[in-house]
Amino acid sequence: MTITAVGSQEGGVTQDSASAVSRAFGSNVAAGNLIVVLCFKDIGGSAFVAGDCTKSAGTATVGTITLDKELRFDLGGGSDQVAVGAWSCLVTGAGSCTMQVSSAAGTYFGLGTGEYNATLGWDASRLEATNTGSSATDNWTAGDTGNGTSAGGALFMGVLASNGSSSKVLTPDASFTQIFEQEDASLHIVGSTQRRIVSSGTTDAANWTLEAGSGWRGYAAALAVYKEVAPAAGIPIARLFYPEYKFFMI
Amino acid sequence: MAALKNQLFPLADYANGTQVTPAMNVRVQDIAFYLSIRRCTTADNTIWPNASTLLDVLVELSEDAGANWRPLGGFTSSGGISPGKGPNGEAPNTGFQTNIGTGNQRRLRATITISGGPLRSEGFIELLDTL
Repeated sequence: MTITAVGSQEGGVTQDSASAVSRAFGSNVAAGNLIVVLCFKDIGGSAFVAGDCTKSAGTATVGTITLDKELRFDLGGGSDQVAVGAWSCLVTGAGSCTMQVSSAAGTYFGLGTGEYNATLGWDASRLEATNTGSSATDNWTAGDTGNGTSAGGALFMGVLASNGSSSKVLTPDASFTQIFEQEDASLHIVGSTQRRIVSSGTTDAANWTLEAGSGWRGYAAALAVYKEVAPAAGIPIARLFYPEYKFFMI
Repeated sequence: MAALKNQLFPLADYANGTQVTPAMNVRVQDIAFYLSIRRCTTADNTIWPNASTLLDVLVELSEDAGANWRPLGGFTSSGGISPGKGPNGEAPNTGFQTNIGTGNQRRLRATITISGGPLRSEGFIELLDTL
């Protein structure tokens, strides 16, 4: 009953002014594993929808790609909108794999992807909790997704988008592992993706801190929490051994 | 060491079809790269002016001096003036950046497919040893 991030499969890309962006996994993905795709964007305007994320290349096969959480948020004035999205799918056949996210022409993207193994596996009921957080306050210094709660071991995935005109230091949550970030708002959409793996029931949010000073606007953030397949219900040990117990008592 | 900017392909009119750029050497210390292709702007509207001209790019990395290649990712983009982070609020280029760690004998190349062209532009790869 253990969740692990597979090898060095996690990573991300920055894309300026395009209608689609993709990232290929460095190694073949394995059947039964979970792929999570986290994306942040601006200038695309629209909210993410399920069909925006596809497997665009590779020999692997994947199950239905679900949009597990999304948020589009106006950073101010109605014209400066960012969006975040979290998708997941199960690998049904091993092989090479490239995941793509699409949007309107001219979109600025950040895309983080990862592959995750669970000893008990994953299934369609994997999404356990979600949440979102946002702020329209310019030059925010602390951002978070809001809490999610897992009943047991779980994978917490967080994504944040912001915008602005300068490069600043964006620091991930100390309890999380950063997958990918972009800090230079003078050239790119800025944001971060990070994850936390827990082995027992946990309530947590993905947090970020931003270097003080001017140059960035507000933020939008989303959290998706994934649980592995529940262990099979066992036969109580006392009942299992009761006949022998009775035999020795006679 | 600093960032090193190389021209991926020179300014010219490129016909429809698929081309693979020559393999570009990557320094041992380079941990990322930024691939950029100039876009149409008010300042120079002769570059990639038509929204109907589409560009698909796949970037690949070799870690054995070009013997084997693996995809890193890519993008699809269309021409014309697009809002963005440049002068006049316009996107000056379509760009793609990702981390590649460090290592020896590395090469980068891009497979570029043009449709609805010809496409007039130029491309660069900037090798980054810090982020």
